[in-house]
Amino acid sequence: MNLIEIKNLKKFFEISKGSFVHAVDGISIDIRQNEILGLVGESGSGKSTLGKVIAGLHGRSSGEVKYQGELLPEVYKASDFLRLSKEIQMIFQDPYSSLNPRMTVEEIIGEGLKIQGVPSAEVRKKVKEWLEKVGLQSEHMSRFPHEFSGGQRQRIGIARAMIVEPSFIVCDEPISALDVSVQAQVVNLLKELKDSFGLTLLFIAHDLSMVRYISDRIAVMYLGKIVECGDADEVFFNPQHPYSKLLIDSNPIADPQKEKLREFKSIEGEIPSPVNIPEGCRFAGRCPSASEECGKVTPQLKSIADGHEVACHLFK
Amino acid sequence: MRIINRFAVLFILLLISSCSEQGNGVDFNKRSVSVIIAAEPPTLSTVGPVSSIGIFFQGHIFEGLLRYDENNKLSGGVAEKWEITPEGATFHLRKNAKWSDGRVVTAHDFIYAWRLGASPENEYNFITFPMKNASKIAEGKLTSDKLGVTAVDDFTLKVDFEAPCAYFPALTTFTTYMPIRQDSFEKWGADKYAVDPEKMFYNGPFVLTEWKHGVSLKMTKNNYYWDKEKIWLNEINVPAITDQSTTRFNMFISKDVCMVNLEDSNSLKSALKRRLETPMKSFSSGFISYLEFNNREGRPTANKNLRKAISLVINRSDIVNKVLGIPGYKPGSTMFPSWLGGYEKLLHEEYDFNLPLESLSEAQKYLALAKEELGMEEITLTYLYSGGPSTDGMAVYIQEQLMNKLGIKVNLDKQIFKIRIAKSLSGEFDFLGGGWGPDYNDPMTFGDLLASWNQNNRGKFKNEKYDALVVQANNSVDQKERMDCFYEMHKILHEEVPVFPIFESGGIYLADPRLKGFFRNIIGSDPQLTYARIEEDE
Amino acid sequence: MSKYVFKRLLSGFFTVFFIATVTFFGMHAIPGDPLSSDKVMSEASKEALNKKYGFDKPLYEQYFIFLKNTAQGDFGMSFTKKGQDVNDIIKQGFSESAKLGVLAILFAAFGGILWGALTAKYRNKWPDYLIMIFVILGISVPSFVFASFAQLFIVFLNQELNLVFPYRGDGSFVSLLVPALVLGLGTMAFLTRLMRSSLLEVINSDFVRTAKAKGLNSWQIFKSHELRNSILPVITILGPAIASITTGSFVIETIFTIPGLGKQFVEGVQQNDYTLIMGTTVFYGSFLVLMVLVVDIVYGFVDPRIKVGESK
Ligand SMILES: Nc1ncnc2c1ncn2[C@@H]1O[C@H](COP(=O)(O)OP(=O)(O)OP(=O)(O)O)[C@@H](O)[C@H]1O
Ligand SMILES: [Mg+2]
Repeated sequence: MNLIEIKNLKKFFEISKGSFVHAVDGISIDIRQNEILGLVGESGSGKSTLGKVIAGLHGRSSGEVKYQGELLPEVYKASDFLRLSKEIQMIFQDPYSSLNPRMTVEEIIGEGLKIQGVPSAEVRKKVKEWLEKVGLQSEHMSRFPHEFSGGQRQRIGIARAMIVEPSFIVCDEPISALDVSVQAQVVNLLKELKDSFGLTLLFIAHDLSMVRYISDRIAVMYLGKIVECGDADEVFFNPQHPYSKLLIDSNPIADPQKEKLREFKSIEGEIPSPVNIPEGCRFAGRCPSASEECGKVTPQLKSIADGHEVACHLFK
Repeated sequence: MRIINRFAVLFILLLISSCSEQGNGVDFNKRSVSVIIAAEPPTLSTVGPVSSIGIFFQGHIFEGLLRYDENNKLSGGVAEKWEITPEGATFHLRKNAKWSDGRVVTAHDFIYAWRLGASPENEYNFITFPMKNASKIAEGKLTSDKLGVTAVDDFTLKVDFEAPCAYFPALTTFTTYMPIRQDSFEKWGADKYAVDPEKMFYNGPFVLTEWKHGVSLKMTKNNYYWDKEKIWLNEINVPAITDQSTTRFNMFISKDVCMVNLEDSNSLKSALKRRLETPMKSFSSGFISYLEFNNREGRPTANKNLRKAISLVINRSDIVNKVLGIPGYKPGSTMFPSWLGGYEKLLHEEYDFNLPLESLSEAQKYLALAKEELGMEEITLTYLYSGGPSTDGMAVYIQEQLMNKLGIKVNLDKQIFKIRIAKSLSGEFDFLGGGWGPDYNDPMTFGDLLASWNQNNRGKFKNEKYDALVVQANNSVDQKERMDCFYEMHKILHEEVPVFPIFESGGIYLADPRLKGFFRNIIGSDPQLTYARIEEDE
Repeated sequence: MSKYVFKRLLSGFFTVFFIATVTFFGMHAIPGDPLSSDKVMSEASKEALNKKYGFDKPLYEQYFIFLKNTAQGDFGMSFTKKGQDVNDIIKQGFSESAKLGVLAILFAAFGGILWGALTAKYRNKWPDYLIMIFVILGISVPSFVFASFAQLFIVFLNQELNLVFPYRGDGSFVSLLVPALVLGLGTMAFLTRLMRSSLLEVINSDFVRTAKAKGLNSWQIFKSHELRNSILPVITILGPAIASITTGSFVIETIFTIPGLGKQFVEGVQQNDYTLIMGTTVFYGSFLVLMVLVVDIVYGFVDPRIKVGESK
């Protein structure tokens, strides 16, 4: 069953009169109940924007987002936020700036519950519970964010999102700002939480191996569009889209011996400006196997194997 | 929203509750008037420090031997009769003059006050100098009991003069000559006497009943006053003290005070614009303003030709009309202002003080002479002055005139009042913006200013003929002879130019049309409200 | 903390001591003294008065007498306001000035926060432009201009509408409202600008986004996130603001006839009233030193990252 259904979703930002950033440009994808969908792509490809639109932090320009079959409002009103924040939550990339420096940990974590009208004694209890669940201590309640390490802060961020017990969480690069040694801890925490609470996650990341490790499926994004989507292992070990291939090839390998030997391939060329979207396939300009057709016709996502979709003219 | 509404209601209630009754500048039923003053009197003690604002109160709460009556004519105060000779004067006190506690005012109350007034500790002691030994007492050479005043009995006061003093009777209306109750003065001491309503006794038409320091004062009719039948007013209020002329004007507009001087152009303009039903009237402040040249040796201004040159290029009426533009000011060509009385009529009606001026072209001649005598090619002078924007304008005008017409560079030295005084005393200037107000109602109050022995002669002008004329006028009781002397003095000043008179100051004021019987005085209380009354509203 | 406060108080004490000393000698170095007046007094008079007021003693001796008396909390008698203790003048004047000042600070703080928030919320839209025009006016036009104008306006309204709204301080609370508003105007304008820029920074910060994700509505976000994080500058300038408001109150006090300390101080300076000048200087100095200390301590409460009394 699909928890989230996205149809032809577009999100444009007007940066000056008549010129728009096509951050999300016609995305259709479903997120199944209780799965972790990994979302990868270069910086600026629109991953965060997609996540924020789903969480309601951005209104959308066009298209549909359905949650449990219910069409979500195009732009959230205060009441929508209040209602939907219990269902859909978001964990942010930067654990430093995303916590209010003037608030105690208790206030930060408890605020989401408090505005739902939960009595403060109850809130306090829950905050304590959740601090322990994310691996912190209840004494930490009265401290301020600046007294914690990055990993601890991200745990606070997780507790903050989890306390309302949502069924869907957008994790926007929750580990990219963290030390490698703590990344695994946080990922494992998310995995545990997912299992014990039956969560569904959209896991946005740069680090492909981490994404493969945690995700059930992976979607690859390029310039506001999804170019490939499929089972995590399938996409990781058998990427079909030329962009996915390059992206996965450029991923550093955990084994330093092998990493040293590897011939380093970077993706040549610059990602085009999201303001002036080129005609045809957006990757054509950087694609090693681009043909004439690629410069004219925009390829659509097509199923090439069971559950494996690619948007590329190489697959007819 | 509900909360905002509630606040609004609360606020409006607050406003309504705070609203006092309509302005009480004049109140017919209460027989009260309100006036506004610019500064708080430092004290109400008649032995100083003397201040014009203090005199305003003192002229209502105390009474001297003589006073100005309801027609502003000199008449009996505590004294009902008096005789004057070149040697002295005798005053016969009325027996029904009383202090505010009912005690009779006696000759001893005057003697006590005058001895204090003559003492070195009174900075105004020079005003007692017509009395025998007064100046020696002021110098500390004699004790104050040697002052030339004695009580023949409780109600007869005999004064011995140092030199003939024709104007002595008028002098007895001055603050320093008002009586003091010895018991009260001794009880509070010199510093605390008369600084609060309960710290003095009153023998004038009014008593001070309230003095909130820095805030307000109030005078109420004195029921012990001997001539109280003539006093119509019950109350004189001073509801506030501010040196902001616009605020004072606003208080008049709001009918919270009965009278206001229009001291700034804004008030004047807005008074004109409002076409107030109140007519504007002018008053003279009695002050003259002048440039005073430094005659000390070594100063270029000690040169008479330089002074003459300068005097020829400064146009009085330009300063008054174009630079200052203050209504009520008039150009003044003499150190003897036009309001002074002569032997019969006004001094200016009896003599011509507008002596012809030499032509402007003569200025160059004088300048050339001066340069030669001084041996100077370039002349640079320092102009010392203080005051506000209008005196700045005047300074700049003078600076420009001297530069354009004579090529003299003028450095402006603007100082606050007290520093200007200090610098003028030590002679740190070439010429200064000076002013003088009268101490008593006689031309001598201006005439002896430039006598060589007068400490207030800041430029150290010394002219033997002038000094002799001062002495002659002082020694005579023949008013015609004295006035001739003053006119001769004027001629000397005109020729020698130790000072260059510029204007007589005055002003425009508005008064509630219902207010009658008050006087704007040059000497004594200004305004004098003792005999004021209010006409009933129609 | 208490050690820190003690240290600050000690340094404050020396600051005030220094100010007092400089003022004392500066004041005496200026020509003229409380006794000088338009008309010259005789040498004998001068001598007598100098002796009476102790001006005949050498300056250092006068200075030590001043220090001794000040240490005992006695500023002596005013020279120009006969029979009045400087202590009483300060006490009375300050109670008036404080009422006015507190009101002005309240106006300035609330106004600054409100207008600042509005400009930030509507940045680059007409409410923003409109308010910023007033802000520029408020900063550049001196307060006495506003004061005269406000008074004239009230008088005009009273006449036209037959009201009796107080146009000057008559001792009532209502009569302080307009003067306080005018007095706080400059600070309010300054704060609006400060608040706008610091809010703009905060509005786009990640924790505001987090707050949005929590489901807070915009008022809740403003109140507990944006305001809390942008208010620091307001508190920072509160110290200087108190200083400028207490010292700037002179003109307002004379225009609105409020018998405050600012008025007394300026009169003291104009009259060379030595004791009054010294008394008010020492008082103002101590007051400001204390205020800045209080503000610093409050600062620590508002921003948990700043630990009052700990070196960085
Ligand atoms: N509020 C905004 N206003 C205008 N443009 C925006 C806004 N937010 C994002 N963009 C633009 O949209 C595009 C997509 O941004 P987005 O943050 O979604 O990328 P991303 O894939 O999350 O990148 P990263 O990996 O660096 O986080 C970028 O070009 C960005 O500049
Ligand atoms: Mg991102």
